Amino acid sequence: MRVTEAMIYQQTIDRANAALSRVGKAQGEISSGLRVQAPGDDPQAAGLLVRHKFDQAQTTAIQNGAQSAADELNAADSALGSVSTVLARAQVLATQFGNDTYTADDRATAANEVDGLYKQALGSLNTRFGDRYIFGGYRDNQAPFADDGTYQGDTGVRQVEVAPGVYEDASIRADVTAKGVGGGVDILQTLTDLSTSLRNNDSDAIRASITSLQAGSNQVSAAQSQAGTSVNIFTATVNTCAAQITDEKKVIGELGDADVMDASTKLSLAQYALNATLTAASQTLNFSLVNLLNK
Amino acid sequence: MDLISLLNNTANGLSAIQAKAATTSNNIANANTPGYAQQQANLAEATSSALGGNRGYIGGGVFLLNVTQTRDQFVESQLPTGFSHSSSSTAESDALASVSTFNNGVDGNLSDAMSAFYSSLTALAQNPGDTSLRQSAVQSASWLVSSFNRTSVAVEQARSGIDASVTSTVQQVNSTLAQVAQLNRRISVIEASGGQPNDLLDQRHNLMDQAAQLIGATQVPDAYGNISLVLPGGTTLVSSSVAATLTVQGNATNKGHTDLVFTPADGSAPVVLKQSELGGQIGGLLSARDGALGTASTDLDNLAFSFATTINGQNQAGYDLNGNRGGNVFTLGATPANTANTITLDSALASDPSLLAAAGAAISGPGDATNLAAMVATQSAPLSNGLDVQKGLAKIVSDFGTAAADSQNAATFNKSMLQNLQDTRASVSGVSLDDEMVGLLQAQHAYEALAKVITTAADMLETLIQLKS
Repeated sequence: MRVTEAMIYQQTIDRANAALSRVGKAQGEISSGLRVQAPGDDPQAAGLLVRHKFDQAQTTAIQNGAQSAADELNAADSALGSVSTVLARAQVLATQFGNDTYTADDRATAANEVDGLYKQALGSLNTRFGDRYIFGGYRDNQAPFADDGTYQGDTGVRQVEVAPGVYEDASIRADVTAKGVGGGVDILQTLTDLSTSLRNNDSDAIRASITSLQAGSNQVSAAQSQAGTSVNIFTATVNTCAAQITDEKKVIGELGDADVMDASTKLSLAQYALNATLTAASQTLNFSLVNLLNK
Repeated sequence: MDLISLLNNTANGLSAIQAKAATTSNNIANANTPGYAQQQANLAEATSSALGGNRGYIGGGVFLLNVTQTRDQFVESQLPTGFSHSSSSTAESDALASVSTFNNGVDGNLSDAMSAFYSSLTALAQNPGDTSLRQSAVQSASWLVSSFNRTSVAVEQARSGIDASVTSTVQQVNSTLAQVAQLNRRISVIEASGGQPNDLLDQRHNLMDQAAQLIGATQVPDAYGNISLVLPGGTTLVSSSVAATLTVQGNATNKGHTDLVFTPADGSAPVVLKQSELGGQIGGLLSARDGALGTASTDLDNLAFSFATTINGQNQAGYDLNGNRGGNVFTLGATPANTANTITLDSALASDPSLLAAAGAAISGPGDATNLAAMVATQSAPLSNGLDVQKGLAKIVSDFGTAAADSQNAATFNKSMLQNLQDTRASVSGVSLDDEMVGLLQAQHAYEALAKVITTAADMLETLIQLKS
């Protein structure tokens, strides 16, 4: 092939531009830390990055929700624990003052204590987590129990996502647990009845309340057990989500992040090629008959 | 042969050698002139003179036959296609590479905004009565809307930029076509009289290269030395000494983007050229505009419309914090056209987040997130294109990336092919200074030798003159 100066110049420009382009790309990878900057760098990876980042955000949202639900159920469990303590004390008082050896005055004093226990139970059942009442069902913006023990909430049970499209109960139905809807015992009414029986000095009625108080304790225990199970599920969800987020981050990194060593090697090679191109061109252009004739 | 004839022959030889040296000089001077093809001064042996009496012939010296260009027609015939393909794919690749809205690592892109919207709904589902969470959800919906708008505007701005580029390139094309037509006329006149207009041929070659680069025109020579320029789709741009003109006009059915209109020189009706009929820079630009960018623009509109319609429908199925039926979350038109650009957040919802319909029943309390859960679930539900939101978004990014990568690969390949052709052209038609220097030395020596012949002939003549005296 006949070689002309124009050919050498053109080839030098083409090769130098190609090498410069590779230098620019390698520099971009190193400085940004990203292997996939534009979708055209790796179209499949670019599409997958969108999906994995979306999945990561979704998993993070589920994790936050599960953590919040677990915290709220722990608060519910704690409140129910207080109610359980109240009922245990009421049982002790009923057993003690059901004995015929106590006077009317003694029982009136005990009635005062039961009234205090009632208020304590009422306060626990009207517990708030953040700005809302956790035992009111969907009606969480008002105290679920009135002073007279009337339930003002509804039957709604909040559900929280534990996996995309999978939900778990995140609240306790207080109408069932405290009011005995569905065949149980009305705890607050039982405490009211006990107080009345003590004031009336009615030992038979006092003794009769022991059974109801025990049934109420069982109801509360069942609710605590249900809350505990849900807490376990939500805690497991939080942990699973944490592992998933770690995996997603790893995948996102593998798909889109630059391998600095690889990019540095590419940069060195491209710089070497650029240098070699320019050196070769300058040396080749020196071999000219014009130069020799001028000597 | 007498001595006077000898002197005449030698003088003719000097003249021919001078022409050869002049051609060499011209080659050296134009060694770096774009489009210049090396010229050769072709010398021929002059007619011999018969000596008579069967004594043979004496040569008549040398004369300049002509000066021709060195061009390989096989290479030249491939170059227009090479220029067209390389310019087309490079223009398309550059246009797509300039769009960064789908880039990975761009904070606040559409994908991030969509994730944030659903995350805010998930958070609100924990406590749908919470005012600050409702406000946050509405803000994320507002961010999503502006992200749709920004992405659409970025894509449409890139398409409008291409319109401007095409408009200015069309002016260059028209100028090029007119010049080719004019040169056709001048060249055919000179060639008809037996001339060899090398400089005009170089100019025309240059312009034909330009036409191939700009619009993918290929050349068709005729028997009279004219070159017709024809588009890949078969439309004739230049025929003999007549050039058609190209103009641009907006197309309302393509968001107002410009069409290329071909107006024939014979006055017949203008015709809108399709992108598939074009090549070169304009063909590549239009391919980017109506190909990958056009698809991305339409897909964005369809995604925005389908997504917003789904969310609006779900919100209307629920009840707001006041126990009323939900309304729209997004305001959009009746069809997908331009939705990504024109979608807005419902003004009533924007000013009153309680209108977000979280509850599944009118009588529920503020803690009811039944409808909100259904709204969150829409992120996994197939939209009108059969894909869910995240897959739809991923497809837009991936499709755009595939088109960008394809055009980039094509640009690299076509550039390499063109470089090979240009190297071959430079090898054949380029000026080699070494060749020219050798030719110059050769001419110098020939000139010196001929001068010596003249000196010798003059001496001989002088000798004869002295004999007579």
